[in-house]
Amino acid sequence: MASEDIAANASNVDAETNIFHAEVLSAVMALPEAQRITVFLVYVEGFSYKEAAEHLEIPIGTIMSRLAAARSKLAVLDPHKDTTTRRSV
Amino acid sequence: MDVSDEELVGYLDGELAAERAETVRKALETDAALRRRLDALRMDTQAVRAAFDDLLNQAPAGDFDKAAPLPSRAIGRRSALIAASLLGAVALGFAAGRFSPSTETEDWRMAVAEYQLLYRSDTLSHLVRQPDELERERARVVAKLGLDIAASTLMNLEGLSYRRAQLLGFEDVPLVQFAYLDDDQRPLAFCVVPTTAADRPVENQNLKGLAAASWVSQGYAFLVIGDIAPDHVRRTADTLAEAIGRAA
Repeated sequence: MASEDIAANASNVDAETNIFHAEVLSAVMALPEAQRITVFLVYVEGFSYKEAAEHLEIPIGTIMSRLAAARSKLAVLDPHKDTTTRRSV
Repeated sequence: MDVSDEELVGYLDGELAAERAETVRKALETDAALRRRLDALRMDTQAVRAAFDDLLNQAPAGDFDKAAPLPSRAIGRRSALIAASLLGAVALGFAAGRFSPSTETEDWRMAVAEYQLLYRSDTLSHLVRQPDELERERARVVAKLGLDIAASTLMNLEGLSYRRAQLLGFEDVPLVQFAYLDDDQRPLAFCVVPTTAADRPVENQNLKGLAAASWVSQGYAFLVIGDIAPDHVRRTADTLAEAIGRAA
């Protein structure tokens, strides 16, 4: 039942994708609300920093600091990273 | 050269002015520490987008009507629907429902109990590791779970020696197990899975002859289980439930 065993037994790519999406959603949902909304606007909806700042009526610097904080927590989800160097959520 | 994390994020997102971006790029060529900071901020933004697209595509439209929408003067209906989901519990419940067992049944607890029955003191007694190694392991598994349970909560339980954290799985969701030995070298496990079940307080159980205590809180189901005194299992569960609830 170790994770490696489960991965080896995975029957299809969809199941793995679902789990990964669930991890991503859980991690984004766990962000403080301000970071969560900023991540959503910039990375899901594709707003520029300027557009997001105008929409939320906050300075661009605040957008950047929210994204930096969020990225430091979400970076662990990048499957291309070496797990030994990942940061915790 | 002084580059802030905010500027590094702007660099990753292509949002820096061209001249500043070039300055950062040149600095990255020669500054290994800066490259490490940049790497620590990298994330899979495509995965975030794909996860939310999947969420929206799978959601019954009515689910989103229950959530209060964001002001949507600058964003369209699709965005408003997703944004609304970010502000309410609907998306969280839906996301968990989409990817995890629809109810918190005894199934996962019984699976854990069967697994726990295989544990002996020797399974864990040889595991004596450095704090930083334990912390890296803890950070990895709680990240997978999406619930950051503090090291101070996990590693200071009365009468229990913390040994390891493991990422397991039940059906298609992550199941995290923290393993302990009590003062008599008997194994105990604390397990967590995501769930859509309603919150419920700590309840005592006996699962396959093992003392157990379980509860549900804010989208996660918790189980403490071991072949040790039921009141020790219960005290451990109460301590964990209070600490995790306080941190939420």
